[in-house]
Amino acid sequence: MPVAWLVFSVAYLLFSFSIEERRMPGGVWDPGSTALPSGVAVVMIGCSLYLLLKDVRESVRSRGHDESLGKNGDGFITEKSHDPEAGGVRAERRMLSATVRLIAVTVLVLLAYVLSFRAIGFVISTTVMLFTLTYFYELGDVRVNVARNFVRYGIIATVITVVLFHIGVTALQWTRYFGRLWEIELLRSRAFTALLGLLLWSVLLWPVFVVMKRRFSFGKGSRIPLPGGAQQAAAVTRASILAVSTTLLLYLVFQQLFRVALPTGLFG
Amino acid sequence: MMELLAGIALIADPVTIMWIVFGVCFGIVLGAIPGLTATMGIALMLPLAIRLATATGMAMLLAVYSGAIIGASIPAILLGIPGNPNAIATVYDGYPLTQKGRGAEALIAATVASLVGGIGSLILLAFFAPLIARFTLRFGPAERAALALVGLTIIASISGRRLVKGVLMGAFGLSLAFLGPDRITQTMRLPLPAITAGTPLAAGIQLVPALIGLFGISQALYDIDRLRSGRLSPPQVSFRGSFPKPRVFLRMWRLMIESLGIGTFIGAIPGAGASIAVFLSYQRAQRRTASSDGDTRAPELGSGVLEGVVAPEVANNACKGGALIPALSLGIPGDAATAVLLGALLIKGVVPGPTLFIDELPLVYAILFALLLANIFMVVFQLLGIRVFPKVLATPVAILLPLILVFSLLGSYAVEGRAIMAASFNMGVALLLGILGFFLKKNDYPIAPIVLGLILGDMLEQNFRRAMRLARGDYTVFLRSPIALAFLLLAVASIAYAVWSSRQAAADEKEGSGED
Repeated sequence: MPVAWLVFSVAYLLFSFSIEERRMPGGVWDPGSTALPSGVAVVMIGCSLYLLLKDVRESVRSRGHDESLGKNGDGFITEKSHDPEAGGVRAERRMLSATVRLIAVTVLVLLAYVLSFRAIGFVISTTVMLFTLTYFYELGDVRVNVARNFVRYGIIATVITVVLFHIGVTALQWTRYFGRLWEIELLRSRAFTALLGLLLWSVLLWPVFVVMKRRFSFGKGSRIPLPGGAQQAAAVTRASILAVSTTLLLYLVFQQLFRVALPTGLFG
Repeated sequence: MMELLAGIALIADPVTIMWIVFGVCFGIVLGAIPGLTATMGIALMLPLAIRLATATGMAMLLAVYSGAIIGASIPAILLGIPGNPNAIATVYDGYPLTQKGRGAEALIAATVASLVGGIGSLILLAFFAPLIARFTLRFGPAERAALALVGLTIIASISGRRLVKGVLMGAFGLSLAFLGPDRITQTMRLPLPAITAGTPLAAGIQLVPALIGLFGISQALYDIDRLRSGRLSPPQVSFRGSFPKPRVFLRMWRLMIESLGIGTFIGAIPGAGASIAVFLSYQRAQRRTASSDGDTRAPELGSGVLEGVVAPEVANNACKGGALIPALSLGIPGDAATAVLLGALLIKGVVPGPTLFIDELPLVYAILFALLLANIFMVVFQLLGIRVFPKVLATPVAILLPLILVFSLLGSYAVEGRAIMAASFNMGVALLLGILGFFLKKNDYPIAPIVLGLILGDMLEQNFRRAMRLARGDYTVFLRSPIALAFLLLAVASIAYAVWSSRQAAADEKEGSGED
């Protein structure tokens, strides 16, 4: 880490030298627009060098230490043979690598979300993102053997969201239209349309959720045999419910209530 | 009087009250979930707040702040896990009370204590903040630059033993604050200007996406570790005969007043933090119970005594009002949460300090009134929700994390509202800073100094340059002005104290491990 900071600090110092030097009108004594950025860069270089030297000194000191010492998930030094909770070094490593995989997938999904948000649009990108994250978080790992179910139920959740979204938005547009036509202020108000949308989607979502819960009833009576059994069934159900309902709710809060221009993307 | 009524009118409308109620409920739920902090909650709500009227938005954020503080006591009492570090002292007696089947009694005691701390510190805030603000009318650029430096020395105290890392992070925050146009000469300070000049970066790094990324996204990524541990197992809380009698609290009036004083005073010292205040007040409670008329039958603190819950909770909530004193009167945040609140005011174009108390007096009254209402609602919902809290604590992390992540990204998008290009850029900034924040946390770098640098960078640079110009390049201007000199000495003392206390803690730890 200190090396990365040192590189950034030096780059920032070079950048500060490249800034056009300007002072306030008549201000010969004004230190100028580059003074503080350069000063900050020098402070950062000093701190990074200190941390780097400290790291080097500590690694030299710990080189001769007992090999049985290792780091746990929180970065604390633990004695491997005496770690009762982890169930041994192998279990601990397995746990750590699952967490690393989850973090990596999260970062990749979030990056894809940010990059595709404008092109694909709010509804699809948000549903897919929420479904993906909840699904893998529910499983507690990223596994390849669940890819088929992931794709299949991800598509189902997205289609449900898109259909419900269009029904809801059309209903809201009609409400506003009649509000204008009959000059009823209430039908055009943001809060009322948001509330109406919430009611409508709740009514439409309820049977969908009931059907899903019945079909994927967890445990022994699971009607659809999924690889991974009850855990997968729970993951599919929770991920679908969360993705569909949250996307629609966020649309109501941001677009209907606060007039944020959410990108329509593919629907545009 | 007219200003007072105008301030109350700003808050006493149904929409604002609805947002306060929402903020309190959201805050309590957020605070109740271990790992989620008040700062994170305020950062997540910031995009909504800035789209509301200034008073309404601030009222909502203050409600989240109040709710999150009291919410942190719930897992501390019911599970023995503090919702955030400021609730650690509540665990010592709160959890033993739950184990004895008196969990609901402890929660009610914590609620009453929070009300005393919250309202008491609010009165002190209403009294002291205008006095300090009036005093700041004497400040020129040199004094303001020195004051910004004092604000930056908060880094020393919030970094603990990681002082150098804290300074590095503070400098990094400043380096981000200096990107974009120089506010005095309008010089563009952009890396690769040929490419970046036409992008939203030309306007500089926006505060809201930075805050959301650093506090929201980074924490969610960090909490992925918790997926392995699954949900928490809440206890069965007994409610039979659980309401403590009023005389129980009347008996503790001295302890409450002492804790109120400790909390407000420590909260008002920038960077001192509520965790110091709660331990000091707990220590006070320890002394008080030990010297209670030599009664040998009195149970010891730590074994499940109401005083051990009341004292830290009064102090914790008193810090809230205390931290707002320097924030509103000087523009210096008392802690990370008030830094975000301050950011909300600045985004709205409201500059804290004397002008706030002269030009925007109704807004000040509105803030105080909102805090009062938030404290009242906080108590109502805490009492109503006692049976629900065990269920809140059982919220699966697998559901919570995607919600935080999507809300963070959409929140940073919503800041720009209808400018889709800039809004998407803000999402990118939030995500990148979130990923950076995650790696920093993993490597034990403090994050709050980055926010301090971002907030205080502009104030420091503008006033430093103006002071130098007025003093014709004479650096001794900071030593010749008694106020600036006092601030500089305060900054030095603050750093020296932080270094001394961290060394002391290291020595104590070494001694302790030696004994083991």
